[in-house]
Amino acid sequence: MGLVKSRSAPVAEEADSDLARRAAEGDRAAFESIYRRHADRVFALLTRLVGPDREREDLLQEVFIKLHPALARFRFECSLQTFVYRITVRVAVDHLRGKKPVDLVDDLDLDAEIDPGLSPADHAARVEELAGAFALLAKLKPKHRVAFVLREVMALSHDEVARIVDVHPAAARMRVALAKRALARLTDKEQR
Amino acid sequence: MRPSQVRETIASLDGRLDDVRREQAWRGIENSLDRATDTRRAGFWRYRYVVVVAVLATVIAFFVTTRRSTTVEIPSTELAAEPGQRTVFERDGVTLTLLGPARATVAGHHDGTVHVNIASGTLVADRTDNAPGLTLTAGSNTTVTHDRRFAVRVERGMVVLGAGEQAKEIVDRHALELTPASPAPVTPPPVAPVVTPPVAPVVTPPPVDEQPAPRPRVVAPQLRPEQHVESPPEVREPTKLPEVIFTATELYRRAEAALAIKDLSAARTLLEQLVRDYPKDPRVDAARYDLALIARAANDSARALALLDQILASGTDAGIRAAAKRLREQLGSK
Repeated sequence: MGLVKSRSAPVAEEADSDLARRAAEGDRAAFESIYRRHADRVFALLTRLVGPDREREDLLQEVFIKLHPALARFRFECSLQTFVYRITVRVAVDHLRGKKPVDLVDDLDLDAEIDPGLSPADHAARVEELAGAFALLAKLKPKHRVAFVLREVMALSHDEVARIVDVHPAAARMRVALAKRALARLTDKEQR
Repeated sequence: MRPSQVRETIASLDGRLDDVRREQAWRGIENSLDRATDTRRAGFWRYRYVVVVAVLATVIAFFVTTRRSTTVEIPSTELAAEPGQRTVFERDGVTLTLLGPARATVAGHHDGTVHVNIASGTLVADRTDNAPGLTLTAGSNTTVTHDRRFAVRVERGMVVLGAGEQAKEIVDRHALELTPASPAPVTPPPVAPVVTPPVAPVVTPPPVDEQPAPRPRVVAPQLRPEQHVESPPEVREPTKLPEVIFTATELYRRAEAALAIKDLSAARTLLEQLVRDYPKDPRVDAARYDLALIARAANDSARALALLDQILASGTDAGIRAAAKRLREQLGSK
């Protein structure tokens, strides 16, 4: 009987900073590790920023394609996750700016996000709910929309929001406030 | 749908990436990275001579430009317009129009903005999209603007500022008929404070720097007792100018723009003006909170704490009060 190598002891995960350094030096395996570690979070953030857009997967690829050369400039002034989120937000904003507001809702694949087990009536109600929410968001300026999603939906602190969008925390707080005020005005207008 | 419902609806999205899509995305990323690498290799080999020349040109340009001053300066230019005249001055996509009688100085070019000091009269500034911003000074008031059109009027130590529609209102209410503009900047003779009878009455104000810091308001122009002037038929009756210079919304918007470019000094000035001029505006709590953050950034904990205490004492916004309490605890514990 030969020796059986035990795999029960967990291997310590390599730190993001080490992976980033190796990836910046051209280590493709290190970059793939970064992708596998952050892809789900990036996709979730994109979904909340732009909605269940049919181009989400393309946007996900764009984030990491942009991340790869950017790692050479990354000076670890923030966490790698914040750096990745920063690129994600920029890709999302470019996407939002490149479309007409009506397309920001029409291009959403809302059915893909709805539990297939719902009754037709519930399904329709859910579609209407999602479409309504994204139609309101589509009327916000992209920078306000981003601030609203990061702070109100993802519950990040103003400091974290500021680091991601690269502004002063007061500016981040102001953008969130303006977004909420704009949404309140839009909903008041709808109800009249 | 209320904002809270929007938040909950968006938060309810799954946004899950299944294994198949994750792998497909990675293959797409790998292909792009491989293509980029191949292009870089092929391009370099094919265009190696171009690369070498470009590198040499960059090195030469670096040595040439480091000999120059890093601060772009333009010589100061004095502008003036006689009563009934206008003077137009252009620089770098910024067009300044003085509506006489008026005096102004276009100063050096700092930090990407053109500095203009208005001593008297009305100035209209028109910018193209790529033009630098303007730093406008009138008396003790200084404002930075990147608006397409902006107007300033200085009269008897009062300052009226406005952008967009407000600028149009300031120009429309200017009491003089304009003659065609002189195209070149003018170095003026000293302007005598004289009102010419055929022209609608305007009083040349005393030098701005002798005035106390004005709270923004405006007055209608007044006739000298010894003059009787027939108003030209096309001049409207003087109407009351707006009593405010910037609305609270405009101040808040400008403060946001200043914060976006990390101009904390300008943001602080605008937010303090909002708090001072609109004490009952619902944004006062938020403005005080932002001022506290700015004070914290400047390591002025005492000021930050004082602002937070004001919010806690009299603030009405529950969210801001909670945030102020948290921030106060953080600052108080240092």
